[in-house]
Amino acid sequence: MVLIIHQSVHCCHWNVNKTALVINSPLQSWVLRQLDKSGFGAHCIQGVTTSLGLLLLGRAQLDEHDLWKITTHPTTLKQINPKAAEKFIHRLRLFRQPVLSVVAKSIAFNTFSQSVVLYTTSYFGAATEDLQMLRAASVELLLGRSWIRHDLLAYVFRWSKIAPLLDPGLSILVSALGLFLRKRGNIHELYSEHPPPSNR
Amino acid sequence: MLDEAMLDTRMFWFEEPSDQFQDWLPVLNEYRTTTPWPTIELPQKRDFLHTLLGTKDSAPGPDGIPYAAWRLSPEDSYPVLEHLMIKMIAGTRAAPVQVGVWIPKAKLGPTADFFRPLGMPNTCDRLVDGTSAAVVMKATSAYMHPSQVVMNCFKEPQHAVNAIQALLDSCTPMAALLVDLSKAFERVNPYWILHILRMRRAPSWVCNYAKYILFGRLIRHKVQGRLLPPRAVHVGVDMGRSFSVFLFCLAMDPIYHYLNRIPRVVSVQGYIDDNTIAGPGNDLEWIDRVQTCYKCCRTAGFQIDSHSCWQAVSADCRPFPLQLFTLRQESETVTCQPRHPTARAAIISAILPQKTLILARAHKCIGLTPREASRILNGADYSPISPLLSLECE
Repeated sequence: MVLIIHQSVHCCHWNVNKTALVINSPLQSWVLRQLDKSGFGAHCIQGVTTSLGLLLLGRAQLDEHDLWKITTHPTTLKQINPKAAEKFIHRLRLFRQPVLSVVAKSIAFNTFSQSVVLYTTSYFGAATEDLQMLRAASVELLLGRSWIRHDLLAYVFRWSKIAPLLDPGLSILVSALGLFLRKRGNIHELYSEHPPPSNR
Repeated sequence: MLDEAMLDTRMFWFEEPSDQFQDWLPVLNEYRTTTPWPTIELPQKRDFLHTLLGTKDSAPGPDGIPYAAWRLSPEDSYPVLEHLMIKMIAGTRAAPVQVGVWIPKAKLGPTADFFRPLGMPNTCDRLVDGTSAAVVMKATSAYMHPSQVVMNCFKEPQHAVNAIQALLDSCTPMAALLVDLSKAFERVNPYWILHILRMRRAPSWVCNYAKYILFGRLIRHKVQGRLLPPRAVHVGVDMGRSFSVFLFCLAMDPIYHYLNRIPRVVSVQGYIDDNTIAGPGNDLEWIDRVQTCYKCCRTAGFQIDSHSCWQAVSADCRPFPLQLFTLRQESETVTCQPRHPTARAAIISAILPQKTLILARAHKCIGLTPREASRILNGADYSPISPLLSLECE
């Protein structure tokens, strides 16, 4: 019975309803019956769900063959928050005008464009792939083509006093550090080498 | 035409609310033990000036007076605002009128559900409102349940997500239930809020001000640049006032108290209308109590949107395997039946002995024998409906 009832998990579109149950271990059959009786239904079980614009990561979900499987967690910004990634690209397009100066584009990139990703990245950090995407976007906006290494551009611009371009890596680090300190995190914790959580 | 289409999903705005205190008693009884609020002074000159000087140049309300006009001479504006506030509290000022606009949600779409309403009261109303909200929030935020992240010292939403994620990262079986309240801001019953204010022994000026903004609101919708005639909205809190945020958090407070007292619930985190409740994953009995809480508060405006896709009807035909719904002659009867979130709930609504039960989902249906239906009800065997379970629903 357990395996069959689980099929209902696949029957709902993600955005139909935001009510969801995220679990960190497979549920037993009688627990599934409890869920069914409560009126929520087994279809609300999800491996990963969006909560307050961030992701709540479970560990168990069901595959196409109705068997429990370990949830794979998204790692890149496009997977974690596709809307933010789209908005970032959209905002960049608004400033891709030849009449704008390099300084104006640089300020737009630092503030208007980067701000959409910082909420997510302050919590999840940024994958190398994301950092490359953000830096490449800055090169494309300011130079139009890649004739300088994208990870160097921000530092070259600032050293040569061309424009106050901020490295996206630096912005993400500062936003994450800000979140950590605002939560009264102890600065000494940043020095220690905590092992990463085993489930991620 | 466009306005009517938008309002189609908001017919509940125009229904007169009623005081359903008896229905709410299970939840409100738990709330009786909370500490009464301290005395809250009326907003003073410094409070008005603080709000006034911090205003931005957002769009004015129906009277068209911009914020800049009020900021021009704060010393002269203050007495006017104070006078308005006194009239509001005394109940001698006319009901608030505001411009209502529809703003698209992040997820774009053509129907009313993809838009949210935003109210734009007159700037003078917003100034009085902002000042009152700042004074009341400062005095009462410490008295709200700590599960309300927005009332804590660290108000950022990451805190709520992190608290639940920490539990899911633990080694013990845990489950987190995210509850999606349907249009909670727009549905909340004003009488529910007044009961809470009374229980907290709120100062009379706060109660009077709450009554002023909750009852008899008039909204003039602006569609394609034109202002439409005013409509009276009877339920919900204004979408566009600072005090509404406070009132909504206050309305959620008894729910957080109740949820936190449910046995085995480990953590409750709430950010305005976004609630997450965590408990053990090896026994979901606590979810039943959560459901009970929201059922009690349904008439108070807190409705959980459940994804309902099951329908059932009893028919005089032979049991049959999976078929296209439209091929059955009973399809018209089934279409009229209410939808349910679970197969079990659908069967309960329709089961009759000695007849075939037709269970439908996603344009397909199955004819079950009474024995098969009762085995599903008992949770013993779901195999007869497994082809339905795997269907994609719209």
